[in-house]
Amino acid sequence: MSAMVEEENTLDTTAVKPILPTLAKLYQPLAPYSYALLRLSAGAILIPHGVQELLFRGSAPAGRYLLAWELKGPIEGAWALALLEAIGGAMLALGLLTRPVALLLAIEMAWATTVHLKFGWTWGSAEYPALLLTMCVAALFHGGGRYSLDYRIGKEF
Amino acid sequence: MSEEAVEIDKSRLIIPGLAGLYRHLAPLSYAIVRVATAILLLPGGYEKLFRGGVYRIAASNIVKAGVEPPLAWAWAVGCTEFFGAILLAIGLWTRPTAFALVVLLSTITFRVRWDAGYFWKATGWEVTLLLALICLAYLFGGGGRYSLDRRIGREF
Repeated sequence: MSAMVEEENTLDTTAVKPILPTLAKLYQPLAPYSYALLRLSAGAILIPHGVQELLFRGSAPAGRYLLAWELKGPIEGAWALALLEAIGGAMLALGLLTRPVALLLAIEMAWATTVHLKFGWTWGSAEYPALLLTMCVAALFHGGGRYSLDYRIGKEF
Repeated sequence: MSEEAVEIDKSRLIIPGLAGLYRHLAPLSYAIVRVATAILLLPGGYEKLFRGGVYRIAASNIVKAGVEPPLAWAWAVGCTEFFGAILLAIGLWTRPTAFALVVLLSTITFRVRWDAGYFWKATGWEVTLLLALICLAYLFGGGGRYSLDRRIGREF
């Protein structure tokens, strides 16, 4: 563990002054959690996609789309993606093996973005996987951060 | 202290040689999500303000959300999305902007999209929920290292 290293933050010498110090008292205790919240949100939002694919195959819209669009041949591919979204999403949310998981999810989201680009950008098309791609790339860049299982374990990729 | 300004500790890395790369990349992560969120919000705001979208939502989603008068709220929604996206992208007045967007996006999540279910392909609520959570993170953390707020040196 190396809490000292993270607390002696050189970047914070440029920290900004609050315009309303009273208001700052409200948000300053929350500020350290902002990245963790981003990582948690990106991971958790993916879990239902994977769970739906694993448990309710064929009955759910996302399952049909996935198979109909790209994965006409290898059914194993659909299973792998479902596992990645369910288990990888949970690992990203918890910050366990953050960078490897974020890399795999980023590859999946890049693929999903290109698939959905055929249907346009807005209104339930490529914009959403593109946002998730950006969040996975952000987690790949950043790693688990202060509030993650990776940090608790003390080792990370 | 904002989490995005995290120090990369070489001794904690399984591949210590990557520390230099991570030091360059890690500070970007907080900013790229802010910009990506803004890029997602901007077309919706533009359509509402300049392509007649305010009248469309005033007759549908605003009524669904149950606020009066519909047209005034429709303009408020359009302005929040369009100008909110621009301010979020450049990181100016990040926290007030994020606050307005959290209110807007959570209202859409629970009042407008809830009945459509979770999944985005059926215009479900996961998209607006994710956007609301992202904006909540920027409400906590502010603009961060790559933002106009940081350049100016004062922020809300």
